[in-house]
Amino acid sequence: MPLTMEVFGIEPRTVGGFPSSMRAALKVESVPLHWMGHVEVTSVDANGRLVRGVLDSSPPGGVNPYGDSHRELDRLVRGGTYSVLPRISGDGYCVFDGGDLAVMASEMFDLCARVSFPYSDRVELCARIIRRVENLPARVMFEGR
Amino acid sequence: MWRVEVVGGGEGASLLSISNLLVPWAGESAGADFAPSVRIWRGQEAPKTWVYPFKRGLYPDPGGGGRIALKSRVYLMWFPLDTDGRCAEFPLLSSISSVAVTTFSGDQLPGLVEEIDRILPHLTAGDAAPFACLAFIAEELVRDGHGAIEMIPL
Repeated sequence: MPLTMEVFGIEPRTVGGFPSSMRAALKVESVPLHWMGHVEVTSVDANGRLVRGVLDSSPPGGVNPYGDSHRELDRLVRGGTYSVLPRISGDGYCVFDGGDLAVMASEMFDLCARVSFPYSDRVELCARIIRRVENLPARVMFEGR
Repeated sequence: MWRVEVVGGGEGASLLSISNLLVPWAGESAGADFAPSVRIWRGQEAPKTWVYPFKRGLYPDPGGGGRIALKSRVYLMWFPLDTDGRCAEFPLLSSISSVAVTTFSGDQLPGLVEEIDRILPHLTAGDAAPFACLAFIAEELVRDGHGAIEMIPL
């Protein structure tokens, strides 16, 4: 499954014994990160309509077996150009804050400008959100399945 | 506490939602949500101090016909309430009701962004990011040219 991205405010105090920053969050559903194996699929449904979707196909290790374009994207992301994007994991929770946020937004914008890939507009959406909160005490969490 | 949803927006905006948005002028914040008496009643740890300086008074919820939810909001120094529960400086934000769904759309959306940008410096660290995200959703709907924000009280 594609990831879910959530943005929290970071509050140093706690409320009722648990971190108050976890109470309110912007949630972005279905963020496909193709270098992790979220591959676009096209099929035909029972009514003969063309259905486009995103299939999580990443095997353990995160190597994407589908298509040269996705291999190229995977190599690009993990090839040393980017510092924060390769740290996003689809395995459980993955949290970023502080200076990582500005870098992550820049890297997402850069990736979308460099290469064309399906649903890149959703990655750009995430980048714009992060840019909106990067100067605030905020935490960005990706949740995989 | 509110849930924020997008209705009729573009593909990107329709992916967005905010869970458990705390509204300071309703006596909630990420630093110390609810009034101390409510926190004690709920068995939560009582706050040492109120996070936002406020004045007690009767400020009704505008969505409640004037008498319903009479104590649903508090007067904050930077969010001064009128006796009818509205705030002349922040007409859109103060119209958010705790007893009914509040909808923002069309020409209201740029105004909502502007009001949020003005309250951001007053918010606690934990409250600022969620409100910036609310402004982001409004900006996305302005870009789309259609769609509305629904604020659903929880």
